[in-house]
Amino acid sequence: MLSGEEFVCRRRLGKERVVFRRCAEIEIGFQIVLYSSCCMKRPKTKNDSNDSLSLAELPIGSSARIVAIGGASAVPRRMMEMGLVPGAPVTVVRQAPLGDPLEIRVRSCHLAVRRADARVIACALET
Amino acid sequence: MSTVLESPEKAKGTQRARQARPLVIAIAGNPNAGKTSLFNALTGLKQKVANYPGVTVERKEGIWHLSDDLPAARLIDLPGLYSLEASSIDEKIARDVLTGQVSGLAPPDVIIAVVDATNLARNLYLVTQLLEFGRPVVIALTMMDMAERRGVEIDAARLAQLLGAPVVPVVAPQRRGLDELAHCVVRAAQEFSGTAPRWKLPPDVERELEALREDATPHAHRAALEALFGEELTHDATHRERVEAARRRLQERDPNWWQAPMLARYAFIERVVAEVERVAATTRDATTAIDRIVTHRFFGPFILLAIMVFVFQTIFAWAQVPMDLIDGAFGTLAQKTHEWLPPGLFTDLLADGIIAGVGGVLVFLPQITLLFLFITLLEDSGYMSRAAFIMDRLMRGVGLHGKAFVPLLSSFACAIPGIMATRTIENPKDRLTTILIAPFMSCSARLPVYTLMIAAFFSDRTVFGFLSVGALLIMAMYLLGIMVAICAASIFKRTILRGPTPPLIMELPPYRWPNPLTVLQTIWSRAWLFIRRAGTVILAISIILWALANFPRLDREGFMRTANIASADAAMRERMLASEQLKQSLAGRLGHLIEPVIAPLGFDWQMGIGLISSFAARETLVSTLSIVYNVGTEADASSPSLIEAIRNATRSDGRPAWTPLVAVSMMVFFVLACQCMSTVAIVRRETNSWRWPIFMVLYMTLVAYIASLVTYQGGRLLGFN
Repeated sequence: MLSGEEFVCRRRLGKERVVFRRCAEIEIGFQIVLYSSCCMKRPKTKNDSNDSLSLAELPIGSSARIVAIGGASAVPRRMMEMGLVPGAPVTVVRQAPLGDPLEIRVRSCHLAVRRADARVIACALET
Repeated sequence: MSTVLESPEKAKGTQRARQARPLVIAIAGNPNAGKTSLFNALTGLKQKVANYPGVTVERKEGIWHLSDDLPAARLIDLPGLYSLEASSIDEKIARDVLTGQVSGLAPPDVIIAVVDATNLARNLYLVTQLLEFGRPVVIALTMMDMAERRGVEIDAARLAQLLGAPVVPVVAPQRRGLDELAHCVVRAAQEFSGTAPRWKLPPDVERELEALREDATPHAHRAALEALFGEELTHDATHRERVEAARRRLQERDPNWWQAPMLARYAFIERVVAEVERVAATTRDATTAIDRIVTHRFFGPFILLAIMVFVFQTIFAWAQVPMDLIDGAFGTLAQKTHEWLPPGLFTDLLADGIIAGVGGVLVFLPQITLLFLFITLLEDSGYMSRAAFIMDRLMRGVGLHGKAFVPLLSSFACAIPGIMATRTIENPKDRLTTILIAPFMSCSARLPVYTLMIAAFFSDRTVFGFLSVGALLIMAMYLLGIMVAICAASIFKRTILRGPTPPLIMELPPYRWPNPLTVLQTIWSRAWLFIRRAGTVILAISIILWALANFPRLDREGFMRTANIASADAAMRERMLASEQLKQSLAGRLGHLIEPVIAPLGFDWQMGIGLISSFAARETLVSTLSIVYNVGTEADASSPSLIEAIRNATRSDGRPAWTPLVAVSMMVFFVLACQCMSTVAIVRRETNSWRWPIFMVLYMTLVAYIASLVTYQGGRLLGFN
């Protein structure tokens, strides 16, 4: 599913980027790879080749797989409890009439999530 | 746990079980998992609704007859939960119930976990947490029929094996599987030998947990897990230090250490689901089809608006028939009372104080029932969260959560349940903002006031030939309340309640046909709440007001002698006597006292009496006005209706007291002023201080005064009267 020791999740508007580093592996029936995250100022002249998209950046209607969740506040915790864990497939179903929040589908559950909150979730597009 | 129940000797055990204390069974599950309909099916109408001490989380308890040879069990309905770890009040209460920390309630002997078969993975997350409590868990698998229709097959036997807990498929509305559930619960209570979690945390986390826990029991393990990963720290200083040290060590090794339990649980769940769930080719899904229209870019907001308009129009059209019936019945009753009983003070009190007061309140029951019918249907069908989805961007504009939409919409029926519903908002500042603006939502208690004003001055008028002026005015009042609420919220969020906008993670459940039993029960409990309020507060106020308007008693003979009224006929004389009685009464004096303050709003002292009395509850205005205006005609058996009385009321200088402009000014005042004792009481309870309710009364009254002043003076400048 994943390759590479590090990948970067860009914030769309801000100047920071979230870097996820591979840091641990857990073996529970199958393998879970833990990534650690930290916020960094975006260097001006860097072209990230192995960018993964944040959930907020996925095109409407597209499906992706969650690769990591950053930050350590109540938001990512709640999101993970609702099933948005690394490895889970996620589909962006639609956006609300005013452009925000997004309706996403994870497994068979539909959730409304704001774009701002969706940025902590890094995804890899399904091909 | 009862030792008696563990006795292997069945006959003897049965004999003694009769004397044993009843089993305590807690029922937990995700919101929308079918928990309420299961609870209703198991307990019927034998339910008790109260609050947990100190907080306003509703505590629902019922009696469940498990079997013939056991005492009936106490069934505790926990609030809807996604998890037991986060810090919302609901989740904390649920933890307290499950660990037996609620006074008067033993820890549950069995936990029933309600699991929605269409959403197995997410629902099993809570189950993994429930299994950690070291108590027997029985899983009630709901929505199996819906899962089958979607082409999802679930192997319940294998699921039970993997979880180490019995699994019973149930269809609550058709009462299928309920006997087996009872059987499993009894057996689980008797034969439980402990469960071990079947998922493993990373080794370093396990090591820290081992160091933190006191012994090897599941309870100690769970407590250590909660201490390490929970959001609240314990108050015990040494323990706290150890927890913080453990967190630091884990943090050094891995900044995402806090994700470990969730990852481990979901990894376990994935494995379970992969084994028990078979998904055939996905079939057509009604929810997807409906959502395509209902949350559509253009149609979505339009449908939301259309539903709101339909609801309001219905309340005024359909509710009229039963309202007229109730009104007529109480009118006849009051009249008969006058005929049956000898004339005197007591008869007056009974007919004009008590019967008229109760009737004036019960007459609005049809509207309240209809409004709650709509709100319950919208909520139970799943549309309410779509409304929140559509509204979130707007709500966020004023710094609120899309979830605030539901309490605010409920406040249109009554601010009391609305304010109670704000507990779903996790952020305390957001919750407080929502509470403070909820009373601006035009509640059903204002409807009597609007209805009266419209009936008196705007009835039978139409615009474009079909839209009634009354309906438009009421729509305008609702919009005024909403607009002022938006302004107030954005001011609060920028000043006294400043804080970051909290997250929105809201489930959009599949559409479902609401369960008629649940809908009826909700409507019944709301209606009963209103009747109880009507029967106590409103009745008391009606009697007090009757007394205020009748004491001190007027010296009739003295008045007849001094005033030159010999030329007037008998009816005229009675009216003047009654008017004099009111002027000299306590109410009249109070009304006169505030007249200079309310005169710029277009109100006279008689309306002042109404304003004072309606601080108890808004609908009291109607019964106050009927007492105030009926005083002059109480001797007359065929007294004109309240509407006539209002139209004919005059000021001291002979001008009519009420004009259409005064009526609009009065309506504006009633939209915005916090004239509800019960709201103040509930805010006091929800915020746990007098500071906020007092602040609320003051700021709302100020806003109402200014708005009414602008309406009346502005209207006069524009040439209305």
